[in-house]
Amino acid sequence: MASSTSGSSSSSKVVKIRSSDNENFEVEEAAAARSETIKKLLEDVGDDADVIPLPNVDAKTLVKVMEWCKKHMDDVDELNKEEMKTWDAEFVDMDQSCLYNVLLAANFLNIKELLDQLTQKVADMIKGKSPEEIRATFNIKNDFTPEEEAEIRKQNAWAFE
Amino acid sequence: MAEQVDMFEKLSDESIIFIIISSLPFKEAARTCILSKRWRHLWRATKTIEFNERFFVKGDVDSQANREIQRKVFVDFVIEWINHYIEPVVDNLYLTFSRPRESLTVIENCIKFALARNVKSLGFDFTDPAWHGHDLDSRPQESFDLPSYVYEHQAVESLTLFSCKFSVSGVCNLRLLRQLSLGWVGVRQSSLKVLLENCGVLESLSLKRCWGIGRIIQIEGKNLKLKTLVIDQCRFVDNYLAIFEAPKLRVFKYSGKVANFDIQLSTSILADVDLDFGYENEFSEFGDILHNLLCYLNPMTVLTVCSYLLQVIPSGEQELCTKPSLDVAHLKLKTALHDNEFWGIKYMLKSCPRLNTLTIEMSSDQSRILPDYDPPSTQSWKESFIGYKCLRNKLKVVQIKGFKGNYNELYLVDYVLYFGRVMENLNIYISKEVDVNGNGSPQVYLSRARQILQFKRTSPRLQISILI
Repeated sequence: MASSTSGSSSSSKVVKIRSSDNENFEVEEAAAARSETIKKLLEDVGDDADVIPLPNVDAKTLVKVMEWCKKHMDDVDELNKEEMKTWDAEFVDMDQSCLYNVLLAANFLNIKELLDQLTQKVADMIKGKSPEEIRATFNIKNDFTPEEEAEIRKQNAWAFE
Repeated sequence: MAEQVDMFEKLSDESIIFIIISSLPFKEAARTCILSKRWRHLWRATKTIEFNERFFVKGDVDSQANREIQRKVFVDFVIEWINHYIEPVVDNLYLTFSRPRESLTVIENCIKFALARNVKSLGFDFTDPAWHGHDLDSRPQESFDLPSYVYEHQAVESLTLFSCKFSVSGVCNLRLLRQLSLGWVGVRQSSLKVLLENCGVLESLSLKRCWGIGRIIQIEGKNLKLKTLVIDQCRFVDNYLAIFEAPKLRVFKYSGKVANFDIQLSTSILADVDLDFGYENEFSEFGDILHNLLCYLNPMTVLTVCSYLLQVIPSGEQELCTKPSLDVAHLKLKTALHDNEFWGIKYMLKSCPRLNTLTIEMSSDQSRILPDYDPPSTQSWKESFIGYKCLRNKLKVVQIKGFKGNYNELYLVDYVLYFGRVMENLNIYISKEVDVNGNGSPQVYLSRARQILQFKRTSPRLQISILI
């Protein structure tokens, strides 16, 4: 059973969340509250909450997302920002199916900063590539006929020069 | 084998794709229309819009008439595009028109279009491509006045104004302005002062090709939030005084002439410093000024210096290094590795005992080599080119970009391999340039680079990579 309760800060409050595949997690409230969705749920149920169910996020993805939330729990000062940048860059460097799942989870859990980092990562994977390379990277099936493709290129010629 | 799935296929919620497309430059966003039928029109929802005349009007088209046709195609595209836009919000709008007077209505419509959609970042470039050359003395008239209603739009966080007349008090009205970039305009010192005093959250200020500042440029204030300061090819009087006092500065980029710098920073460390004195073309004994400048900016994570600094910095009173030494982790040298530059290279290596990474960006531009260069010693630079402290203790990575394998390049590589006790990586990036006289090509450079594998190396952990 995965648990991310921090031992050092014993005073911080812990909340329980449950993944779509019925695994329970204990997370510091300050970390979980990075998600606007969880924050709102917590406000709605108050202290009576037993476990907050997250029907859209599986355990594997939730571990990843909470890892990010824990790291981003506190405000960082100017000096640690560089270090945080490096950490973030390594964090978003994951395989595509994982990236996709975390992206959806960040969207559902409404964690804007994480969503920005992940969409930026995908944009960086597109940047500087030819259409053929982009299709290959993301397995996008070209469903245009060669004639259609030529016509669209012609219509948007300025972008392809 | 992994299943071949289209990640976007599963993203039924297109709002995520719109965010991704909005993170791309406009032209690259437009290119996604060709990916598949689903992608055909998605890019038209991008929140990052750049209408750039230079995407359409090509400088190499010979006849004036053809350029006029291309310009008309561009303007029609702009009108059609904003008429069909249906999203409620635009984040960024960037306009590039070389003759704005001829398209005033279209430009104003674009601005109103973006303001109505709560735009945060606005950029206007009304320069003529012909002004981008080397001549700093030209002062072309600004050909567009920023409409006054822009200043009422308090949501603007970023403003770029190139050859665009603006009102200082108007800009001060933009309380959320974090980034201001001015170019090809006259800016008085008194205007800068007012801007800095009133734009309370300004984090980034960039001045490019500005004039009219006079004898002193002063960027200072105890409460200044400025993190980035860029002074790029501005026109100042000779030997002007530059006073920068920005407690939170992280990035400092300077390109232009040598000034009498007076810099006070209380930041613990500058992340990125880039100094380019390429506009100096005569050798002057500015060694002390440059020495003091580096000491003011110390410590720095990344320091980039130009050929001029390498040639001139040894001319100061100090012996061949700064006092105190510099705390620099990554040193980048823009150099031709000409004999004139080696005293400066020795100077920098000796001054940076904690250097971890050394990057050499090779330039084939010999015009940066000063004809009246005066070496600091009658000795050859090769004498007493010893293993400085950084090579003994710290230097792990050396990379050479644009490698051609000439004598001095090989000499320097031989030197770092011989003295670099803790080296881990030597990365050689082969130049793609083909010599017009037929004396060089990537194949030739590559065969020269292979000699390096035979050089004596001291560090047991060294890996050499030669990249084409």
